[in-house]
Amino acid sequence: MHERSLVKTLIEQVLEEGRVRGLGRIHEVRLQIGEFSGVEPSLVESAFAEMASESWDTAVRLTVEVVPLTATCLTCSEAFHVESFRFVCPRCGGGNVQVTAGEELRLVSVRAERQTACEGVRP
Amino acid sequence: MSAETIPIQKDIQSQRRAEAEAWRRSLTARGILCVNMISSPGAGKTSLLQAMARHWSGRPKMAVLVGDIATDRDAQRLAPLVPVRQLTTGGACHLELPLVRNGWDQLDQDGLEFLFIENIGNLVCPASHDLGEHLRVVVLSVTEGDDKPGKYPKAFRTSQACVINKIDLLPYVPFSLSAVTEDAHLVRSDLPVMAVSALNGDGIAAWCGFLVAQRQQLLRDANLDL
Repeated sequence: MHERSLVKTLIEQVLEEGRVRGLGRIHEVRLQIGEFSGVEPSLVESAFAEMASESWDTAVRLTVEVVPLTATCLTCSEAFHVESFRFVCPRCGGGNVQVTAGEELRLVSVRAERQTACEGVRP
Repeated sequence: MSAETIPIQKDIQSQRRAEAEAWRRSLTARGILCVNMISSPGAGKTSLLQAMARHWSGRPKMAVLVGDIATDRDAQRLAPLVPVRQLTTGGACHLELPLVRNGWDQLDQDGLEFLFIENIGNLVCPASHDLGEHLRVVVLSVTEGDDKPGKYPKAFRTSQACVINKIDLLPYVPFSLSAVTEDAHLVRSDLPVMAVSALNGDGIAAWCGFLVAQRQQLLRDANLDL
C-alpha cells in the first residue's frame, strides 16, 4: 500500500505547478490512474481527502479518471483491451504484445484561479 | 475571481523514474548487474542468495542489500558469505530508491559484478517501484500454489525472470511446474521460468549461469570490456 506516498508526491507537484504558473486558489485536481498502475483509485481518493486539508485551507476536489489497460499485438497489429490481465492477443492468440495505455499516473490538469493577469508562466 | 482549467499533463513519477534510470546507468558503467528480487514472505529469497553465494564462492563477486520491515536476521544469514547491508523500512511494504542508495553507499563495492536487492516480502507494492535494477526476478515457492502469476500479474509482468523455489517439496504439495509456467506466460509470454531448490542445490548452477549470461549481455550492449 503506497497510495499515501503517491498522494504526497501529487500534492507536492500541484503546489509546485501553482508556484511556477502563479496560480491562486486551487479548486480541482484531475488525475489519470491506469488500470495496471498498481494503484487503487479509491485509496488515492481517501488519502487525498485526508492529506489535502493539511496543504490547503479551502476544499480541493480530486477527480480520478481510470485509464483502461490496452495493448497492441506485435504479431498481427490488433489493438485490444487486456482482459483479466491476460496479455494475450484475442485475434491471433500470440503473447508478443506491447502495452499502449493503462500504466500511467498522470496529473492531467488543475482548475484554479490565476493570481494576477500578468503573473505566472504559461506552459 | 473565476477558476479556469490549466492543462499540465505530467507523469507524477517522472522524477523517480529519472533517478532510477540515472542510477541504473551508473551501475552499468561500472559493469555491475543489479537484480531486484521480489516474492511473498518466506518464498526463500535469502536461502536462494545463500545458495548462489556458496555456488559462486567469491567469483563472480556479489553483494546484497536486504530489505525487511524489522530485524537484521537476513543480513546475519548472508554476512558470512557476501558483503551485505540490511535495509530496515520500519513498516513500509516495499523498498524505495533513496533507502537502497543509502545502503549502497555503506557497502564494500570493490570489484563488484553483481548487486542483489532483496525486496520486502510482498508480491504487490514492490512491483510498482523501479530501484534502478537491470533485472527484476520474481521468486515463487511451490508451497504457495501454481495459480499465483495470474493473481499477482504486475509482479510477473514487470519481471524478466521467474524462479520457482523449493522444488524438493514437489512430491508433497499439489503444484504443477507446467501449470505455473503456462499461467506465467499468459501474463508475460517470454518470461524465463527456472526451477530450483535452494535447500539441496538443484537448479542453482543453471540459475547462476543465466545471471552470468545476463551480465555478459549487459556488458556487450554497453560496449564494456570489464
